Amino acid sequence: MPLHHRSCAWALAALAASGCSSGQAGAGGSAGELPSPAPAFPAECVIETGPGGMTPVSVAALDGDDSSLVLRQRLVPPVILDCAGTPHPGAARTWSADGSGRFWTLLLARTAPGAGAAVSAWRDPPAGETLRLAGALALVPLDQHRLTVEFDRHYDGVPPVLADPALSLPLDSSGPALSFAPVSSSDPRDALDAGAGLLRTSDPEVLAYARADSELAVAALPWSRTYVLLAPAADTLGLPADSPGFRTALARDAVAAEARAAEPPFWWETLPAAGCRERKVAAPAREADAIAFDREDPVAAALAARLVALSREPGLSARGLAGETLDSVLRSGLARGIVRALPRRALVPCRDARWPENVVVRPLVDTRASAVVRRGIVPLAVEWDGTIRPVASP
Amino acid sequence: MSFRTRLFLGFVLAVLVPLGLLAAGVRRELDRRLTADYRARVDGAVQAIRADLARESWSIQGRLGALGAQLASDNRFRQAVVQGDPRARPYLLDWARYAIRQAGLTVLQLQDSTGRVLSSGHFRQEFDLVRPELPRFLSATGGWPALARVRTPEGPILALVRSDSFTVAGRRFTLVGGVGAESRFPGRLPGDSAFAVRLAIADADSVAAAAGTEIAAQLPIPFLGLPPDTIPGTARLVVTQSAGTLVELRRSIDRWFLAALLVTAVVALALAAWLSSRISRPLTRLAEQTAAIDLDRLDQDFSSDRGDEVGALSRLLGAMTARLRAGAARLREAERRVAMGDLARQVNHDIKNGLVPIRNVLRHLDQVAHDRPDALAEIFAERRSTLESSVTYLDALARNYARLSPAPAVEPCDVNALVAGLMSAGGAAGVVRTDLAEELPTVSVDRLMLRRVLENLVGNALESLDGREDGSVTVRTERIAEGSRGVRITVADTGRGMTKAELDHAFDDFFTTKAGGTGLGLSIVRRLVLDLGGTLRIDTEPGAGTRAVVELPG
Repeated sequence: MPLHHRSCAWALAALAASGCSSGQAGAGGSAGELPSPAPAFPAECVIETGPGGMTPVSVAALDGDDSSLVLRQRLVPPVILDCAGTPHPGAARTWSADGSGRFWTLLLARTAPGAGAAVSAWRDPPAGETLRLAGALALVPLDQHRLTVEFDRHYDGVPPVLADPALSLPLDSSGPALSFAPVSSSDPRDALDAGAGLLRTSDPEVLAYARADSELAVAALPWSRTYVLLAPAADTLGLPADSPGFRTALARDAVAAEARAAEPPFWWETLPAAGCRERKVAAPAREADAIAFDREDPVAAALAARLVALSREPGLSARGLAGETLDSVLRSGLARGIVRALPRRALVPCRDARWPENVVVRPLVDTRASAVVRRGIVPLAVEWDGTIRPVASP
Repeated sequence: MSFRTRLFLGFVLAVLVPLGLLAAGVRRELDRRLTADYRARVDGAVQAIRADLARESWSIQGRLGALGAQLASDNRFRQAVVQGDPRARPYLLDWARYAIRQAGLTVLQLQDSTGRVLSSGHFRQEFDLVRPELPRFLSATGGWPALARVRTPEGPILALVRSDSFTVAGRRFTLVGGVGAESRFPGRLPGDSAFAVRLAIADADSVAAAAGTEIAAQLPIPFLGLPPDTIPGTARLVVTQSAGTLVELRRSIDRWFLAALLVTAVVALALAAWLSSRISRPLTRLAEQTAAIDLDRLDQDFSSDRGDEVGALSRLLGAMTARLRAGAARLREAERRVAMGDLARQVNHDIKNGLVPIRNVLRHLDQVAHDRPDALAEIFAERRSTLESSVTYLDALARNYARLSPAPAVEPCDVNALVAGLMSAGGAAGVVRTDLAEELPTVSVDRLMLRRVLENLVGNALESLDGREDGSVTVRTERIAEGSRGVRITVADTGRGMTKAELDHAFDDFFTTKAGGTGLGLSIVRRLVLDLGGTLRIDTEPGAGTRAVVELPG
């Protein structure tokens, strides 16, 4: 259902009817009052690199994730979740809900675009689609900096979708910044040797190299990914039964990254019963007796190969495919299963659960990356999904 | 069977049979040499494959030996497999992944003595699986290279494999290594593109058939499949040759010989047809000319400038015709003399017949003059009609016989002028048309005889019209042939024509179909023409008219 812009009078009436003056308040404030300052990031979510506060920090831009590290310095969602999941002000200084928990009003930061511009941006994809899948029914700008989001369901706390990167707004900030340090080599160690201040990697060799350098420090980032095997419910692929030992062995020996046995809770186990996942079902494999994986993802490739090795079916193989085609291979019967990475935490579960209804999700391992930082740079805050931002100087 | 057909068949057989024998002989010799060369190349190919396999096998063996020696002295390997240090386990698991690249191998696997995979280069995630089949199989092959299907994440591959063992801390470890075989087979033999090497795991014939080739040689090689089919077997390196190569070569030779045979046959056929035609046509013409000869038609031209037998025969026939013509002339002369005798007797008889009344009248008048002189005038008047009748008879008789007394006076004669003059004096210009050729040569004839000929022919033609106003008579003059000095005169009418029987007697004396006719016209014409040295031919058809053709020599 597309979001639509309701009239301001209607929205105000709705807000009054829903008791917007007595709702929940974010960042310590309450509706109708100026919010109190946001709580600081907890220590476990801040990377301290020692005295210095050196800025700007050059980021070794090696892949899309590293690029997003820089891009997201100026694109901030309304709410920021720290590595522990605690909300902090982002593009929105405060947020509050009415008594029903369905109408949430955001007070945007002075450095953010106006409420009208935000509403306009959030109607378009991908923000509009993200909000729709999160149950948002309407967006109503109340004044220059206030807007209200109406949801179809009750939220006890701040709706997680408000922390989704898809809703990020550009902030005009003069704080510490990260900058690109393009790396011509495919070896991340070349970037560190060239003086990069920040590198996010999961390569054990690179981490071992960084640990051996006294100028560098290594900080583990949150467990951000869970690798799963997606396969039709009736197809075991000849694999051993799932068990903690099985997952642990996978994490220990099969994956060349920091990994652990996939640990519950898993967000896909609490998906809404209906109206969320695709109605299509997986088709029997027609052309390939294979487990597919994203060919750009070495962890997925290693897990798929290990599953093939352990399978009792000698004809089974692993096949690397382009990431954008993975969503369709089960529906089209081009593979018997997929090994893919899911976000460890899904702010919009219906968006991230893109597999057919009759597919079973078998968790394998959790992985996380680490940040290699040069000592003396500005402290860095770590968010729930591993995003790193410089902590503003007091 | 005609002479031409026999000549044709004989020529064809004389050409085609030797040519066919030559083609068969050449083809057989070529085939023998090709087959011998083919066998030599096959043997060479098999030797090359054996040498290549042995070289590759020794190379693999050498690399495995080097890797084993390296591992035996590797501390981290010892920590991992002897001490069980978990910190060294990642090194162990990844060892083969790096070593396989360093050694330039496609397959590399490290197993302990129980067959448990410790490290795998071609399938890193195969660790801890128990796969003792391959080392056992290789140890049983006695050092001879073997083929095996090996699992990889992407699917099974076929590899030429060897194994080697080493010992660390009293524990035995086995290295299995090899190179990919699928990239080699099928493949072409270096320097000989006619042969290919294919690998037949099950049935060599089906492999060759599937590739559209034929088997030239087979080289057995031990083979081990993937579980559950891990019973050692035998694969075959099959040296194949494109099924069509030798056959195609033979077919090519056959095609060329067949083409040569066909071309030669066509040429021979054409030549035979031409030769037989060239030889038989003049014979046929001679036969036709000879068939046309009779006493009245001895004017066939057998002259020939050919120097061969046909020319000689033609000249002989010409000489024979000349002799016949002379004989015919003598015969005609004899006939003429006989006829003249008959004629003289006839004239004598006729004159006597005509003179008898006259003599009787004269005797009567003499008697009257003697006995009754006064009645002489009266009696003379009474018998005068008798005298006049007899004189008229004798006069007519004389005129008729005068026509039978030719007196040739040969001189150059312009036939066109003669025909024109005849037409102007005849008074029949409205019925008789002329078609006179220009530049007609003069002929040497008796002008009067030729005039009598033409008068008779034109007169007969006019009479055949029976007074019909739509009838016509045409007198045409022309050369007998281009370049010839002979002249042909044709008198054609559209009159009643003659039947075959009438034509057969047309030249007989005193034969006539006309009331009051003497029956001497065409007879005289024929004699006159013959006396002029020419020929006369009558073409006629009842109701369609008659063509009288006179041909006079130049």
